[in-house]
Amino acid sequence: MQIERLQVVLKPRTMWESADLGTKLAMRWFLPLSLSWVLLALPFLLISFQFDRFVIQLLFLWWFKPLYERAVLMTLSILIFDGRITLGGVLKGFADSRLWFYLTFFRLSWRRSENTPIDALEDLDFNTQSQRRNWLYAGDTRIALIVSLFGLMIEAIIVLAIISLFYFLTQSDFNSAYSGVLKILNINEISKEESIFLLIAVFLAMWVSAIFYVSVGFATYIDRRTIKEGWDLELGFKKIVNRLGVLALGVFLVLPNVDLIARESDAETDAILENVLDAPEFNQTKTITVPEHLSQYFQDMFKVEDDGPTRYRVGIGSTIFAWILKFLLIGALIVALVFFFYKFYATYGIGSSLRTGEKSEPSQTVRIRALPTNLVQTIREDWSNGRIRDALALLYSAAVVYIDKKFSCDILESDTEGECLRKTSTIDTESRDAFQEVTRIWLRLAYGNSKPSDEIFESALLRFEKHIVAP
Amino acid sequence: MNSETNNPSEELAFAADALNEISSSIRRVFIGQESVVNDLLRCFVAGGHVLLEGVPGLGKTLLVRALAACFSGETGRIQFTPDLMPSDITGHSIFNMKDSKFEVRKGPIFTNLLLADEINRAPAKTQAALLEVMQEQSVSIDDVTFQVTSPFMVLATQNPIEQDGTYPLPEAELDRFMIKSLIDYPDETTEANIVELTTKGKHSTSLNVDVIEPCVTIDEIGRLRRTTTLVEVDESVLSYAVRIVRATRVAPGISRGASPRASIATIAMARVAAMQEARSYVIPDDVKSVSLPVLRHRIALTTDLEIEGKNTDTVLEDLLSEIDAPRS
Repeated sequence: MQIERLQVVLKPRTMWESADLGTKLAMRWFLPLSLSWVLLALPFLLISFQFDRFVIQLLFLWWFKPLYERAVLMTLSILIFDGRITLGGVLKGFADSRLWFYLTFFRLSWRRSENTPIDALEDLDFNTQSQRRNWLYAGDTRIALIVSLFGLMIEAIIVLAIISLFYFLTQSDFNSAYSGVLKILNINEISKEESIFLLIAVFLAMWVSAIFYVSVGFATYIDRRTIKEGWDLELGFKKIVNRLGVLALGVFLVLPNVDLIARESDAETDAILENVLDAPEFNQTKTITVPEHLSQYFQDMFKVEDDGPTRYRVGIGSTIFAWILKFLLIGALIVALVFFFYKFYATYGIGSSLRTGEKSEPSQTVRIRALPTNLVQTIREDWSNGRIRDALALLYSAAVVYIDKKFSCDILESDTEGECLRKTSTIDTESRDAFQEVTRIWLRLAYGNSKPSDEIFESALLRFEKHIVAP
Repeated sequence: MNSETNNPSEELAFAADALNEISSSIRRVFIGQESVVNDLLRCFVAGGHVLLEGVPGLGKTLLVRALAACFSGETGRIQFTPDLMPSDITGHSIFNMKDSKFEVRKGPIFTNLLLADEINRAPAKTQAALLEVMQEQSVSIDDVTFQVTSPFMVLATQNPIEQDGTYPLPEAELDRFMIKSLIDYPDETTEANIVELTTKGKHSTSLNVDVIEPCVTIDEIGRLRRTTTLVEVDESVLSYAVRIVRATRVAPGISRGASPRASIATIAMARVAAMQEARSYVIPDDVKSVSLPVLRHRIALTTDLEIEGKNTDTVLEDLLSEIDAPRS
């Protein structure tokens, strides 16, 4: 494989990133990959029509999936290494003996997506292929399992979607369409025409899923090789060599001398190391006894584990740290959920004003204003000093506050003058008349710019004092 | 009726009397639905257009004919259907073979009161044919602009049920309706009165508006409209109206608030409301009483509230109860 011709950026990727890369590859070369798949699978579809029973037709078409996928894999491998697609190049992948195992004993293997690239692209014998797989994936088959399950799911969804779409577009009402879908899914009583239609739907679903299935498997393979074999480093060095060809040649010419110097240095270094290691400080031993559970704790704490493919060394300390992070994350999530729930409840919940129309105290019920202690005198002073509007505004506001407080009329800040009057319709006549008088002169002045005479003002003020303010 | 004077008090007294007379005349044939009649009358005098929503058979056509009969006005009725073309509304020019000239044949829009029945049954382009006339009071036919007769008002009806196959009015057109009034089923007593009035002593299934004597002239309608300008609006009342409209733009549960046109419509309607009581000034009660019909078609609720079954009226009522009335 000429990795310098690779059409993707090589770098160590996580499991999900490599799956993402596979998806991107599938989308990028969807057309040629589809073509290779269809060309191989179409004859099998046509042959499957010859069988009488739908189950056999379906089984036949499904069983040879590894064969169609092989064509996709070979096409993808050619494309990704910037090669020219030829029939010979594609057919080369079918020479692998293990392919026949995938069509027989290993047909149900869910590791096919990641194993096939090794089998088809690396010219290895049967036993070496197994060793190679074990070494490359180191037992981490999560992505292969997920891709297999996801592929199955996607196929089922696409089949169902095609059937539903067909029936819901062709039938006049919902019930007929729904019965049609149910009928076709009952494969025991399926008609010949329906079986053909269903097989075509399965074919289309297998087509779409195969492209992504193979691409993700191949991307995982490339990623594993990048990590294990340092493809990215190799490619980097190759690029440097290409760029600095002359310099590299010079370095190459100098290399024998460097090697000589290095050999001499090595002999000296070895002698020094031997002296150091023979020194008494390096031969002292001391036994420390700790309680058993503590001993285990420290062992666990400082134990170095090799997590295989991820290449991380994880000890108990890291685990604890991870747990703390996890709890913090879950805690933050719970707090966020509570906050959003509270916000939603406050807006639309049972107790919200929007839902019930109930009024919250501070903004809705009439506010007890800071009325002056000598209220009547202040109003009168305002009036006599020409602050007519201030005087009547204070008179009216005070009247509303006193009426609300005295008769519990439940007057709200949003109540207009007319609404306030309606709410005072049940109070005693003198108080109501006094309030009406105050309201009338207030309305005329405030909105009609009609100043009441001094007599009217004085009369209203007196009635306010007598019937509204007085207990 | 007496002639127009320069005395505002006399003009306001005339306006109040005229409005009361029109209202009483309409109620002789259109039983119940006081609020609808009131809204319609206010909107008519304020120079706006009405969107009526109600199920069929509640007397929407009768209401229009009754209003027209009050001032001997012309009425036109267009049944909106999916195949209705804009030229079916506005009119078109045809070639006269005799004179070898194009001549304009005016559409039913050239009338005083136009009933656009089930407006949401016609596609958007046909609905849009009403836009120009509603806003500019003019119609363009083949590059020639014609003024519609004055007074002119569009009363469009919508059926709240059977929404399948309808074309909801676009926001731009909705906004051009000054108010949206809801006609609901009458109560039992009112319905009994309607049946009695319709069937007693005659072989008929519909009410006749011939019993309505014209109580004002078309000129007097113009006079009524001019009188609205005599009604003063204090700064605090203006601010109150604007606060109500602005609150619809920030209120939770409302996804689309009302435009400034709503504030203008509120004040215009409130002025007529004040005029009905021969008052020369608008009070906060006038503003509040017209807020619902002015705002209900100009706001859109969020999906959450719609799912909960809330309607625009309840949301607006809640909103109005949260806005402080002017007190100083």
